[in-house]
Amino acid sequence: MPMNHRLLVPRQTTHPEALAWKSAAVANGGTVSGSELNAVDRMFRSLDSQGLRSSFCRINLFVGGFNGALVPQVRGFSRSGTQYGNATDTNSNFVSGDYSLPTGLTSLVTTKCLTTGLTMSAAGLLQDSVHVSTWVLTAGTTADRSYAGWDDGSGTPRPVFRLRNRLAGVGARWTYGLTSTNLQDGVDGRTGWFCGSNQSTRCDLFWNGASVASVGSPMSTSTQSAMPPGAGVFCDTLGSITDGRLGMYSFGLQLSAAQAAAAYSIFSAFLTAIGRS
Amino acid sequence: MTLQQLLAADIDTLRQWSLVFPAALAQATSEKWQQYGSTNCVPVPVLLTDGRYMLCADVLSEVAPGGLLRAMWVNSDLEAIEAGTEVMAWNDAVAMIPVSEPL
Repeated sequence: MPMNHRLLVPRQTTHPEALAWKSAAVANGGTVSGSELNAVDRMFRSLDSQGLRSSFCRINLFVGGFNGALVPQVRGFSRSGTQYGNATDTNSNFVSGDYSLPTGLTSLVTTKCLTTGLTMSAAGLLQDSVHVSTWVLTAGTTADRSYAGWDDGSGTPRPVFRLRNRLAGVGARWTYGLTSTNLQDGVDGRTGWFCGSNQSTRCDLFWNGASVASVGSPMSTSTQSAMPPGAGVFCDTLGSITDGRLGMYSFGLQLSAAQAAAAYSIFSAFLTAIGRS
Repeated sequence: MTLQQLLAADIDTLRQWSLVFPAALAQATSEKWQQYGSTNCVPVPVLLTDGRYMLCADVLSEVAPGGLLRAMWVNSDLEAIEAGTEVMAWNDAVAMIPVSEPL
């Protein structure tokens, strides 16, 4: 009897980090569909193949139902290494009706935000090697509120790393540590993937994978923002809660232009796969 | 609008209203959350300029059976909550939030 050729085709298993996330999401009361798991699986495989996995220490793609959406897919620079921050995002005032798979998570100005427990100091993130990213689906309507980041409140110039909505209905800006100057894209009404990234001599604001603003000031190598409750989403450490609608967030090491372009493609493919816009 | 009416309202209606209550009730609610709640849903009231606290009324969508705050709700002093809570239009409550620091 001839051998069935299907027996010779290696069966692709789900990425271990995707499986670990599914287990954690279900344990937190979430529900994970097959399509969601497949999309998370592909995201991890793409990060691996692009050599980007070690640049991220926290990613939350907001999938797995409302309770599952509070469980980040990534909590460390590798699955086997040290994990940072809270195992789940702490939800201040979001209710189940604020979430759906196609729309992501919708906030309300001054009241609804997530805190991660991820401090820069614990994760070893320095002023000259850090990124913050969010996918803004609907821009905030109140000026100078934070989409994501840290603020340790230690004065001027404030050692802050956060993405903000610059004016009502306007995209975002990256406020960085050594100067009070804000790096902003200057384009109204912008949504999409925003990423602020500090390298040793350059700070970039990336939008949909391309740098839309940059500054060449040398950055400090000091660690900042050890304050609880750690990085905020729809806010920063100290508050400044925005409204608007987000599709994901990430924190980690600095991203080069090429890395930012690759990360944008990965997250864009993820959102397309789950039908979020 | 009353608290009882809001308990039967849909979420779009709830979002048009806020629950305003004194510090003592905020403290009692926080203690009940610590006993019965989880980080999946933490009611965090916002301090208003008159010293009272405010939550968006959509938090009531989680006190129904199966909701994330159901256990906290049924173990709370509901008479005290009803007596101590003022239902205020959302925009009026937001107008009472202290202006945040300049950035």
